[in-house]
Amino acid sequence: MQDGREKQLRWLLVAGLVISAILLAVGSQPWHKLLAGLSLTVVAVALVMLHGRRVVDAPAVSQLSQTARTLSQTVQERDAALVVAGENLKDESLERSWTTHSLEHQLRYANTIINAIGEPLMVVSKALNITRINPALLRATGFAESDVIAQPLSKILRVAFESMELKNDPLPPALKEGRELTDRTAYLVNKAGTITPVLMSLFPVRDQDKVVGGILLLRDASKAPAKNAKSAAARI
Amino acid sequence: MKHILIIDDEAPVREVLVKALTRQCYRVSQAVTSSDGRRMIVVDPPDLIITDLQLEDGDGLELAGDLKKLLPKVPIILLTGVIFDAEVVHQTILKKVDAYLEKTTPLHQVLAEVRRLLGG
Repeated sequence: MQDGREKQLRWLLVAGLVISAILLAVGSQPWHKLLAGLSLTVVAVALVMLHGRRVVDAPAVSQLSQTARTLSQTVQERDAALVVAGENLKDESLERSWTTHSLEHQLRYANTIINAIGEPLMVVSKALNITRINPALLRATGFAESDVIAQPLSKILRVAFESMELKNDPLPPALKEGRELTDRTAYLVNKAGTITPVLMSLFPVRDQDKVVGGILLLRDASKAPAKNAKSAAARI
Repeated sequence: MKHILIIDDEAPVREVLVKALTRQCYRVSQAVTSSDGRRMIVVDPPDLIITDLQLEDGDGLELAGDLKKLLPKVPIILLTGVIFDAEVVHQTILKKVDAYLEKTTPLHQVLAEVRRLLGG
């Protein structure tokens, strides 16, 4: 029973008790006294029972109240922890967005530099697989980027052909030793299979003093100055 | 509430910075171009400026030099994707701005630098 209702009931019973007592005291007829006595007894018994229930229920109520307080405190603590976790999550999400954007920016910036070079250019790994190319190379070969990225360099550039006297490929040792190569003759193979002689220069790419790949810059051999072509021919 | 002006032509950068700085209880304004930035510091002077290096209509370092003449006490952070050699940063860039941060710097470090320059 709620506290408010119980209080009202107790006041009613006390009022009944007082009225019954007055009636018992002032009643002139025997049946008045009998009724008042009965009423007094019933009210008194009800009051005693009400008090008894309260006494019996008190520990349970107290325990329930304590449990409710503990529960409320736990809920508050969990709420606070959730708020902190939510804030941390927002911070982490912002940090991730920032990192993603900065990496995209770096990649775009690196591509911008490579794409600004008008001569065909490609970046190769140490294993001589193509990792990056510029638009000039795509124009020169007719390939799409997806046709050549991650493909072996030999797909579009060869240093010698089977029908020619086979020369040792100078690229692997140059990359291994971190040496530059300048204006070496090579052959660019386009999408239609047409072969164009080019002058190839290799610039090793180092990451913390370790050669991780190279940049290959190609020039149309027919447009190169005569002395370059002559020196290239002398080397091959 | 301290006022920070961000000058950067890249919307995603501004967006993340605005969210992060607002969460740190700063008031944040944004400018996309250097001319916008110059206009805004007159209308609503900031307590700190964060500027990019490569802006559509100008150079961030040149802008920083001009802003320093107008608001000599306002710290400027150059936040850029162009990574300079440490020697260049010390000999050239840090003479024009109060801090140089690469955009690869973790966001919490950018915020820490903002707090340091604003004195806590």
